Amino acid sequence: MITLHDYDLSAEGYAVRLFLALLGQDYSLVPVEYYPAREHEGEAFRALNPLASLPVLVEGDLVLTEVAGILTYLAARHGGADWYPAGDAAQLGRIGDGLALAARLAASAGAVRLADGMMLPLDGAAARAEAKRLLRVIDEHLWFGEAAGNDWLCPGPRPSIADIACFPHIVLAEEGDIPLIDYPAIRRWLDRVRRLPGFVVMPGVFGA
Amino acid sequence: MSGAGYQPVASSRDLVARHVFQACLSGQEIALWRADDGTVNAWENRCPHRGVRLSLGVNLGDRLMCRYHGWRYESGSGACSHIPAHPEGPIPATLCARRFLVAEAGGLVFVALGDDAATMPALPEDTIPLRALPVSRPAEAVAAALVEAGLAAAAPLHFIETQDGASIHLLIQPATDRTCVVHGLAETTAGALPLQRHMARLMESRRRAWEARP
Ligand code: FES
Repeated sequence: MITLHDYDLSAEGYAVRLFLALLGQDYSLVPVEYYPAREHEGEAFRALNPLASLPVLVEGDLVLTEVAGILTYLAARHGGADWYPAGDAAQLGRIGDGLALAARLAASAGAVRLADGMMLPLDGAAARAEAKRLLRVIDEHLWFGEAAGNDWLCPGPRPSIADIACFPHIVLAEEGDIPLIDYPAIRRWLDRVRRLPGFVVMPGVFGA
Repeated sequence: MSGAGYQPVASSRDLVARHVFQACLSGQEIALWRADDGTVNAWENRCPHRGVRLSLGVNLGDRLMCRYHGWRYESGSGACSHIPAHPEGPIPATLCARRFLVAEAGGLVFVALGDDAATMPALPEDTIPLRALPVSRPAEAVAAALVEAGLAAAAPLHFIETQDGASIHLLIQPATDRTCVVHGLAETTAGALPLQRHMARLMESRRRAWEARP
C-alpha cells in the first residue's frame, strides 16, 4: 500500500496526488500541517524525512522525498509503458530534463507562491524574473511543439511525468502574482492537462 | 482608446477549439474565444455578474460559462442565457457580455476597441503566422527600435522587412502602457517551420536588447 505524507496546499504534493489519480492508484494520505503548525519541522516528521520537506511517499521499505523520484518510481512501478518508456533512452533523457525544469519552477514560481501565502522571506523580484525566463522558454517550446503536432512537453502522443511535475507550479503561478497572459501556448497546454481522464483538482485549480 | 482601428491581439490558430484566450489591448483585457461554428468572440474579460475574468471560464462550444457561478453567455450576441441559481427566472435582455469588434485577416485576429468605422491594416494574401512575442517594453519604444534598425514602416505600429528571402510583416499590439506583443506574418510558400524558427531566434535576441535598455 502506498502512503503519502502531504499538505493539501502543496504544489509538489499536488503533482503526486494528480499522478496517482491519473494512474487510478489507491493510496492512504497522512496530512502534515505545513502552515501554520510547521509539523514537517517536528522531530517525528524528521525521523521519516531529515530534509523536513513534503511530500513523502512510502511503499513497503521504500521512502521517497522528492517529486522527481516519486513520479519516476510511480511511473516505472505502476505506469506501464504509457508512462515509463523503458527502452527509449532519448525520451527518458527528455523526461529527466522536464523533471529538472519542474524543480526550477518550484524554486521560482513555487517559492513566490509559498512566500506570499505563508509569509516566508524571499527575494520575490528575483524569483518572479526567473519564473518569467522559464515560462518564456516553455511557451516557445510548446508553440513549436503544437506546430509539429506535439501536445506535451516531451514529444509523443502521450503526456509524461514531466507534464505532471510542471503543471502545478504553472497553473498556480497567478497565486504568486505571476500572470500567464503572455504565455498562450502554456495556457492551451494547461487545458489539455485538465482534460486528462482521471484529472483531479486542488484548492486554486479548476477542472476542464 | 477609440479610433485606433483594428489592432492584432492573437493569431487565428491561437483560438483552438473549446479554449478561451486571454489578451490585453491598450490596457483593456479581452476574453477571446472561437465557437464550434467558427464565430470569434471578443468580450471584455469581466463577467457581468461579479466581474470574474471570463478567460477563466469554460468554452462550451456555443456559449461561454463563467467559472464562478456558472452564468452562461451566448456566442455572437453575448446575451446571458442561463443563471444556475434561477433556472426558470426571466433574464433581463440587457444582461450581456460587453463585446468588441473582431475580425480575422491574414492568419491574425484583430480587435477594434472603439465602435467607430474601424479600418484594417493592409496585409498580403498568402501568409503564415510567426510566433507572437510579448515584450516588456511599451509599443512606442519597440516601434522606435524597429525604425532605428532600418525597417520600413507601413503604419506607426506596422513594419516590413525581408528575412531569408521572405517578406515579413511585424505588427505591434500595445498591451499595457509598459508592455506590447509583436505579431508576425511571413509571405512565403516555402516550408514554414525553418522560417518560423529563424524569426523566433531573431525576435528573441531583439527582445533581449530592447528589454536591456533603461
Ligand atoms: S461572477 Fe460570473 S457568474 Fe458570478
